[in-house]
Parts: sequence; C-alpha cells; structure tokens
Amino acid sequence: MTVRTPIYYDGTDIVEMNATQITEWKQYIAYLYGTDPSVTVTVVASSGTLSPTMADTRLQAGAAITGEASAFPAEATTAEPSTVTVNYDKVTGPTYNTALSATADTNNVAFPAYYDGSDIVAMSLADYLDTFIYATLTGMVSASESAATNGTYTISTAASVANYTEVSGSSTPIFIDTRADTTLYTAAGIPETVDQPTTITSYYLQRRSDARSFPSQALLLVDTSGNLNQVDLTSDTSSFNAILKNDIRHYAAEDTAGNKLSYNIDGAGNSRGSAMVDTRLDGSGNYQTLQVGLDDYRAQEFPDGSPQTISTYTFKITQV
Amino acid sequence: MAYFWTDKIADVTYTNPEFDTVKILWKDDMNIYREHYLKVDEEDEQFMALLGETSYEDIELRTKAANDIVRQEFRDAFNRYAERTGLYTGSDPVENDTELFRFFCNFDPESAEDKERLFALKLSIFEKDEVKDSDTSERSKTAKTAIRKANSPVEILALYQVFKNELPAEIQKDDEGNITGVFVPFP
Repeated sequence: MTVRTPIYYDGTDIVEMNATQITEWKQYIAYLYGTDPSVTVTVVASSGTLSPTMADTRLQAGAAITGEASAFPAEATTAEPSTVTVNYDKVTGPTYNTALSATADTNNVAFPAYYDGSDIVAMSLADYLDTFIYATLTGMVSASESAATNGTYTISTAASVANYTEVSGSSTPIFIDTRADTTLYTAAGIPETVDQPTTITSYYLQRRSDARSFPSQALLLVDTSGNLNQVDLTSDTSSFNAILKNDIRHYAAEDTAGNKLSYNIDGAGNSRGSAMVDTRLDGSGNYQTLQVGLDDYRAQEFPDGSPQTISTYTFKITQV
Repeated sequence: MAYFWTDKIADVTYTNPEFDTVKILWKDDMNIYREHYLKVDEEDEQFMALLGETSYEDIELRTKAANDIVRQEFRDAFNRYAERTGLYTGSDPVENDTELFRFFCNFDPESAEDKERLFALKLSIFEKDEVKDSDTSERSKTAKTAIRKANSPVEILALYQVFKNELPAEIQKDDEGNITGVFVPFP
C-alpha cells in the first residue's frame, strides 16, 4: 500500500498538502458517495434480508377468572403473566450496485500529481486508490460518524436527526421496544385486557447526509504535454470529481481487496448508532382480586417487576 | 468525529444483571433526553470511546444510584402493604432471613429475582471502600472483571476476599488465563 501526498499550487509555489487538506478531500469524496450510495440498506414491511430477526418481547396479564361463587380464585389457580413476542424483520441489505466500472489509468496521467523526491509525477492507479478511494472507504466504516462517513447508515432513537436522512421516508421504525404498561391494569378493571403495551423506544435507520463542502485546495493533474492543471474545485460533475464519484461508488460495491462496504446485525465490524434492546418486566405476576356481586369473585395476575434488557441487537458496518 | 452522545451525556447505567448492555441518556439539541444503547464490548470503537468519557466504576455507581431509587420505592410500597396487612409479626432471624440464606446456598440462575439480587450484590461489593479504593494492579483489575462477570453470589464473595488486606485471597487461573477459582485462607 502506498499512500502518496498530493500537491497543490498555493499561489506562489507547488507544495504538498497537509493532513487537514487531505481530510477535506476524503470528506468530499464521502459526500460524492453519499449523493448516490452504491451499497444500500432499505426499510421494508417484512421479510428483510439483514438477519437475524429481532424479537420484541413483553409480558401480558394472565387470563382473568370471574364468576367464582363463594371466594376469590387462589393465586395458584390464576393464569400467570405470559410473554408476547413480536418479530421485526424490516431491514434489507446490503444491496450492491454493480453496474459501475473502475476508471482506467489512461496515458498514466488520469490521477493527481505528487512529488516523488526528485520529480513531480502522476499517481499510478494503485497509488490513487490507496490515497483517495481506499482511505475514504476506511474512514467511512468508523464507528464515530462525521462528514467522512457520508452515505453510510446508523441507528437512532429519534426519527429526525441533524445531518441524517431517515431511510424509510415515513418515520417507520425498524424495531420497537415495548413493555406492559402496568398503569393500565387495575383491580377494578378485572377482567382486564391481557395485552396492554406501551412503546419504550423506537429505532430508526438513518443515512448520513452532510451538506457539501468543497476542499480548500485543488489537486493538480499532469496532462499528456507534461503541464500541471488544477482540478475544478466547485463542481461535482467536473471530469476529475466525476471520476472520484464513480470510483468511490464502484469500489464500495465491488472491491475485491477487502474494502467493499458491508452491514450486519451482531456480526463483525464497528457498531453504528444505538444498539436496539428488547426490554421486559421481570416480575412473576401481580395477583389482584375484585368482588363484583355476592356470587362473582374475580382474580387476575398483572405484569409486574423491573425492566430488564433481554436481548441487544447491534447494527454494524464493516469492510469485506 | 463524533457519536450522537458525544459531550452530551446525562447518565450512563447498566440495563441488566449480566452487565452486558449500557444505556446512555443524552440531551439532543432540542433539549430532549434520548436513550442510546451499547453492548459492553471492548473491541467496539464506540464502547471504548464511551469509556473515554466515563469509566466502569462510574457506570456502576450510577447504576447503583438508579437501582437504589427503584429499590426504595419498592421497599416503601412493600412496607405500606405489610403494615396494612399485618405481615410484620415475627423476629426470628432464621425465619426472617430464610430467603437470604436460600439466595446464597441455592442460587437459581434462572430466577429473575435472584439475578436482580446478584446484580445488587455486585454493585454493593463495588461500593466497598477496599474495592473502590483498591490499587490499579493487574490482580485488582482481574478480580473486578471477574466480579462483574460472576454467575453466583459465592463467586462474588470469594473474589471480594482478594481485596481484603488480612490474609488476602489468591486468584487461581488455568493455562489460558481463565480464572478457575479463588483460594481464601481462614483467618
């Protein structure tokens, strides 16, 4: 791997870019990727392909016993609270756009120039990939999110988050953690509806979508006559910026050297955003009674206890 | 580089007795508190970044404080119920502490109640001065990690002896460095 230091014209001299200036370029390349990602994850109604199925579990009350003629039904005879399970399988991906082709190194002048210690030369294809494309892809799989992770996905507990686009477009959570709402179960209400849930947390799939920020310094390209030319700094569609966009999209989806982007749940890689947790009350039943008439003794066991995390699902990004 | 919660953390607590998940409470730009969960995973960049802003000890303290509030609410509610129904009658310690004895002698790893009590015991041990103020040696770190991951009250009490100054206990490990037991000398 050879990462080169690109050069630029500072108005007086040709100098090497510093780390900040190179970072600006990587963030801009991530921005170009984010305008049309080639590795996508989508929200679907059901049967999503990103395994595993995520289960939200909650307690529901046991069935009430009513109409006992002479005494309250004993605790031992009432049905225990049971577990309701709702499976979420609403994320599909990663889906790869493989319709793109890599840019060829035409005439050995397609890519930016650098100083090799004695001369100013154009980067080879391998140098260009290491310096710009692979370096950007490596930054894009960081757990920490920024303009350098544009176009990649994360999980939030809010439907709307600054610098992100909610993927479903309709604030559809990909996972909802619910628990029994113990405030809704009352002895006076026996027989209570057994399943009375409340939403604890909703989780949303988001895609990073920072606004564009052009790099502060233009890269230099060597032309076939040996002249140096500055790339256009202010257009996403200028010839070199179009090359960057094409290549970041191509290699993100089709690289065979271990730089391709991928997503999973609970697999390898860096966590993205919040993990999704299934919480449930841990009690063994809150036995309650109600006498309605002289010959109608009732009892029911309601959900109770403290909330505990039963399962934790972590959305991750990695390179394959 | 940042996470949703960077520089905005209001609280961090464990969310289960296994200590394998933490909840980060953070305040967004609209001053709304948001929950953010992370698996306890020292190979995950995000979790390690969290440890850069807080510590295991701090998370344990915050969890204990949160649990104390819930426990006190439950205790008050139970006291009111017990007084109302005349449950407070006997003073026989054997009878009164039956449940406690059972917890130590016949711990049930499948019981939610036992798991919660085990969690409370871990927090209580981490509150002890000799643990809280222990040195930063590998031995102390190993013992703390083992307490965190302990699966029974007996394991916890044995590991606690490592922090006692008189006749300190010795951690025993297998060839791969896994803890196999603790030798606790009698005083």
